[in-house]
Amino acid sequence: MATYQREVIEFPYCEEVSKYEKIIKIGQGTFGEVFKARHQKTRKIVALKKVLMENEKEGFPITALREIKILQLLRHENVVTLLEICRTKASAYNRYKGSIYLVFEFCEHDLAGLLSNSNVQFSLGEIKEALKQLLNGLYYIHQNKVLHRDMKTANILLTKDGRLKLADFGLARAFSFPKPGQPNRYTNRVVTLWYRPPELLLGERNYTQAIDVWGAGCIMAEMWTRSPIMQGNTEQHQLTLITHLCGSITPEVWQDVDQLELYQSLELPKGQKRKVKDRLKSYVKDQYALDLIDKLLGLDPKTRTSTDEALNHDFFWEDPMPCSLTRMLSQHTQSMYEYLAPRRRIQQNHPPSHPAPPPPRQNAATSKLGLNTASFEKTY
Amino acid sequence: MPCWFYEPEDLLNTPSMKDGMDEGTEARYRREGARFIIEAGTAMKLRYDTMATGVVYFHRFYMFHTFKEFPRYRLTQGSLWSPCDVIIVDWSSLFIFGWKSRRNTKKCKDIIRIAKEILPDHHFAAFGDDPKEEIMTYERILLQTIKFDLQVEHPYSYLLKYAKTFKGDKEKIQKLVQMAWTFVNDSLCTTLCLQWEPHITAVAFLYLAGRLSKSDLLDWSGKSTKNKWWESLSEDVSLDIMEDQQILLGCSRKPLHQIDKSPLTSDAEKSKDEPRAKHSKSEVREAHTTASTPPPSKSKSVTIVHDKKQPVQNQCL
Ligand SMILES: Nc1ncnc2c1ncn2[C@@H]1O[C@H](COP(=O)(O)OP(=O)(O)OP(=O)(O)O)[C@@H](O)[C@H]1O
Ligand SMILES: [Mg+2]
Repeated sequence: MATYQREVIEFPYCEEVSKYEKIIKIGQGTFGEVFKARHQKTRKIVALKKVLMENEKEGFPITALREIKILQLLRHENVVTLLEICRTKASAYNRYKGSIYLVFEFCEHDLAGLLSNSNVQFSLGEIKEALKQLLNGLYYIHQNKVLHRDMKTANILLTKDGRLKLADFGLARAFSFPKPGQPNRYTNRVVTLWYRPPELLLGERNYTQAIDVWGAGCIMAEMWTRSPIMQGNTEQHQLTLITHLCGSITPEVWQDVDQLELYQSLELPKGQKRKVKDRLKSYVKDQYALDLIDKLLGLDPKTRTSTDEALNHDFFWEDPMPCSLTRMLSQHTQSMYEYLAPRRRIQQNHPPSHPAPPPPRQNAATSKLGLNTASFEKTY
Repeated sequence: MPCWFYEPEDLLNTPSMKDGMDEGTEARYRREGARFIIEAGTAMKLRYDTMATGVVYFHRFYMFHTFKEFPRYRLTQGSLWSPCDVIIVDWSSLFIFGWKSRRNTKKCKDIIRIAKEILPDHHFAAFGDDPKEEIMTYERILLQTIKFDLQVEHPYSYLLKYAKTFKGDKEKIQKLVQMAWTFVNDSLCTTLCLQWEPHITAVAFLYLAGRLSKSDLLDWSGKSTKNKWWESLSEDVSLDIMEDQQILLGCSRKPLHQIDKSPLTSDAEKSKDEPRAKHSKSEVREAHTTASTPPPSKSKSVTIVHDKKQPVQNQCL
């Protein structure tokens, strides 16, 4: 073994995480632990996400690298801000491999935590404001050719002054618009099952930003139902639930759906009518809201509404107009997160979290993809 | 935010030079390091811009660490440091975002296998007893040094973008871009990427290519409002900047004052074969000698993104 002559290496751009003191653990995901922490000197509160490195046989996790790279590119009031990256001391003792932390601006709540607490009540104007911000964030990341690929309430954060932020870019990737004759071949093993759109379940690999719009539709409905609207156990089950809500999946309502890889092999209930508005109307009284949910949950990704169209929908422009979330949130001094929500919810309702790690074939695809991807992604 | 661009003075006062290394030696190590990355990347069939990114990481790394310190600190007693030890930093640079993410089915052991294949034994020995561990350690050190700053732009994309605004003889424009492309390749062996933003480099090389081939661009979109084509491309490019010896000499094969007198050279190949002008900065000249474009790989990985009828295909590393 090499004998190291130097004890400690200097990293002017990567400070030690010990300048923050951890206050409490607020999240636990597949890829890391999240803590609320305070800067020792400035007292600034931040969120620290530790990059889990155990079991990493291939060095620094590629998911974390992607997340960092994408977060560095994105700067928007509705996207969580990555402040810096910190480390623990690197020395010969840990073979120059201390832990790495992503330091984020701190947000008081996540949407899953808020919705699971019945003391939290959103007015119609407040729901509009939250959704407007969510769609604004999505519009922005899509403009920057980034797909989120993990839309769900636990990944939507809210600050106490009423800003909504998209978070968790651990599965995000850059995309390009497919060119004729050159379909993209992304992995379809993304998005937590309950929020996964039908095209992914049917094996589509040439998908678009419409996959995030589906997630936005699920989240929008959840603002009223307060729990995820389609809680499937398996991919087949999830498709069945989708069919029960959105009607049978056929080439009549979804052109060329029969070309998708799994269309023949999965069982798709026949003769189902679309009942989105019907099934949700006992929760959602507002007609415009029902209409927008119906459009966000369009089966055919090609005709599913876009973030742009959604933002122009009457829902956002009819009374009551969107109104600030600050007043409502100021009533809740206690932070609410999915992780801290009562166990009951977590055990019963915790969706099968991330899909298994992408199958190897994705990777061959990724390299092929290199030929027609967006320019900023070229160094991937 | 880190600023990855430096003044000429800073480049004469690098960590290695503060540590007693002379300018020429550092330039040589940088050049050799860059070449290793390109060679290895070509063997691994990486895209030209992925390799260029590896090279940029490498150059940035040695603005914070010395060639003496790295990888000297890990040497076992007795062995003498040799420039080929830079290899490990190189391979880690490639590993980070080139190898790993473009083809993430590939494992660390695959990159080591390739290293073993293409490196002479005594170079490969630099990886030590546990090559995999060594690469991963360096990966971490490198990432922290470059502030996890993974967004790197290169002049290539600007060349392609700018070329689209040029009007006129298609073939002539292609040649121009092709020549500029070669200059960008060559410049990777120098610290140019630490001095100028990629869009400025791109404009300067197009300008240089224009002068070398005596083909002035007469028409471009936006001509009605601007006098010179480069003014339409970028607000912050001036003739002064482009004539800056640092940019042009970083890559041209002759001193600027000779360019105007040079016989009409119509393409990059020709100019490559011409006798090289003597220049006082020996390392600059040396850089040119070594910076020849590696043989175009047959792999399709070099196809360019934007344009199907790419003129420059074979030129991209
Ligand atoms: N900036 C932040 N401020 C406050 N809480 C945060 C912040 N970032 C993350 N969290 C909390 O930590 C949880 C996990 O974070 P995140 O989703 O980024 O991690 P993850 O490990 O990728 O999770 P997943 O397994 O869902 O992908 C979030 O659901 C949220 O509750
Ligand atoms: Mg999450």
